[in-house]
Amino acid sequence: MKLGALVKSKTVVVCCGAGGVGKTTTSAALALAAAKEGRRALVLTIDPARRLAQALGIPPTGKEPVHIDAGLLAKAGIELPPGGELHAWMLDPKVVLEGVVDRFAPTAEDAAKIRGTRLYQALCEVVTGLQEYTAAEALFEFKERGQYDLIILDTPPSRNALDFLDAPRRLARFLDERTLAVFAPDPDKKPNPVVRAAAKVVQTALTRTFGEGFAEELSTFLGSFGKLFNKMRIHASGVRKLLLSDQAAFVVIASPEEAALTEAVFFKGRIKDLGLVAEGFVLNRSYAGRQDLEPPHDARERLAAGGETDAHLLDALEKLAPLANGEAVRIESDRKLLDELEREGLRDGGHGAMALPFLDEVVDDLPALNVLSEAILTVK
Amino acid sequence: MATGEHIWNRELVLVTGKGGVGKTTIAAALARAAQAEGKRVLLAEVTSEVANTSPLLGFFGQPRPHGEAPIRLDDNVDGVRITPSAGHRLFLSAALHSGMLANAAMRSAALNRFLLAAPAFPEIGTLYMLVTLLRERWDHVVVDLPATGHALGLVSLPRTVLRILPSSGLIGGAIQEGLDALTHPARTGAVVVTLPEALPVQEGLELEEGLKKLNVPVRAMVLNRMPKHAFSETERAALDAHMRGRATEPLLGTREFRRLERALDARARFRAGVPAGVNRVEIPLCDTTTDSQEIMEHVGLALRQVHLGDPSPVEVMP
Repeated sequence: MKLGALVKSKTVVVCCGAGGVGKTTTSAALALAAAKEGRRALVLTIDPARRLAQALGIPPTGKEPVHIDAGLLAKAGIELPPGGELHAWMLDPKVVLEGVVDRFAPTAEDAAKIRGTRLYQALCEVVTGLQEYTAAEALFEFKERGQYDLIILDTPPSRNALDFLDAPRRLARFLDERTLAVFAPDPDKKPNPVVRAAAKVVQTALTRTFGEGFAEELSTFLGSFGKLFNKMRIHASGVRKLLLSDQAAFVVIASPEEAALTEAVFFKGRIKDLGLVAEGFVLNRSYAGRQDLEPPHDARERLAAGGETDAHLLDALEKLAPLANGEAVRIESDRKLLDELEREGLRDGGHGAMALPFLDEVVDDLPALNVLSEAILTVK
Repeated sequence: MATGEHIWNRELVLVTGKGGVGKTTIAAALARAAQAEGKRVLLAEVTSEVANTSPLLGFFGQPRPHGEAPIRLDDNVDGVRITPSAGHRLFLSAALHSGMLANAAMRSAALNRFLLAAPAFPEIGTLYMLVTLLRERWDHVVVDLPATGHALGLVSLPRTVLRILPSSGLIGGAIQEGLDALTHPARTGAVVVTLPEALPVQEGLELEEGLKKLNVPVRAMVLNRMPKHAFSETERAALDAHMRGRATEPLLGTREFRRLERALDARARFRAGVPAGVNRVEIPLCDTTTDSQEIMEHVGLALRQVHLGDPSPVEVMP
């Protein structure tokens, strides 16, 4: 797989993978690589840990994406070609939800009415679960605006699933008119007996489990959201269509750990279950690329023979042996893992795997992201 | 906090931290250690229904557990997967008792779609299931929580839910019970796991603060996989200068050395940052094996040696 080619040709790249593999930094590096190729790139992240903001030096929450300033980039030694832009946004579910209400409510009065409901206010506070819906919605919204050539989506941490893809699907199924009719019957329509019976079951179940009055409140809320739902459903299917098209690519990020292969293959399977194709695997923080390194023992002998007198250095080189052994073992196991990922990555129409190097520094600032973006663009 | 207590000496032990820090290993090791002390333990994994494997229960030979009820993993150790829909089924059958109505509700596609689609309702299912498990017979329920953001989401949920739902209802009542348990210092202790790297340490400390703000008692912070070394300060400086000054190809071991230096910085930040009253536990990187099962057993043995409240940081050597 060639990440460099992806960031030059696609309009959406989705990064998924297990927690802790480096999705956020990889996403940011991909966006930077695209900008260096003269594209207007936006990285959307749903990372609740707000790491990307630190790396890019942007405020952690905001209503709009931040255009990373040329001066800030220049300080990190990055110069973008004409047309190249880097934008970033930390997705704030509350902001996205408010945007949905504003844009979709027929009138300002309707929007105010929705905001006034207790359920809406509570919904705003529930970050969990909302992230997944808002990710898809934000992707759609930014795509529609047409201000970006490429959007990189960093998916929320979730151990085993692609919730951000499942969530809109679940929502679309719930918002299906027949399902909704059971929860919030249209007062102007006479329901058929089947719907009426189902509505009765649901109402009883909700009242007994959630307490007196909840079913009514939910019904009012869903009723007032009514017209919005139709548009949200259209968006959910729009996102799906976009992700199914050849404009979009899914990459699965893995880091060198024992379970890496199993997890990467699991994610690929989940992507396939959703009717999509995983482009390939990225082995992040890989040692696989290093070769021709001098073992510390050889260095020590060479230096001693050359008249080196610093005993501390000679002792230190001796003590480096276990670390060097550990590194040699990792180089070997990372190469093996990369081969396996390549093999797995070629199945089902995928394009194999590629490695991104482990850096000697923490990837938490622009210069480090720049090194990674170079690796993305130069790996053949 | 009384000196000499074990980390797991609470009814509810919440193991949390960002992805990839070794939470699951620590959770399994805590269960193993408590088991070795003769305790009855339930090991619970908060997960979603689509996951078909369980790394946590895999440590006890059940990588693909079936069913929703707790299963026997070993003497005195049971395991369970807590999923939203299992929780939904539990509360629907409790609320509707049995019979036609319960069957109709559980078969209702509309209701099931709602419970899985509406934000917060999957988490309500998760929390409900946890509450029902806490009513049962174990000495300790060790919970492997999902990655950072979701863990905070899960423990902040009760207050939000209680504002929408009347506490007179079945769910409202259970959520209140869950909130009481989660915030009770004598019943609950959270263990925040992190790694010796700059961002994970910072995030671990932020998570600790976040939990404290939600009144969840944090018992210990674990710095996992701390590399060991035998360098003196002078030797480290000499080696650093040599590595920078090399004209030829890099030295094998440079990356591991840089990682070690960063780990030492991160550990210093960890030691300075963990607030008083929260115990610091440092677990060295296991360099004798890469087998995750063996490592878990080593860590379990080591955690038995940890007695909280000691004046100095606790270092365990697996």
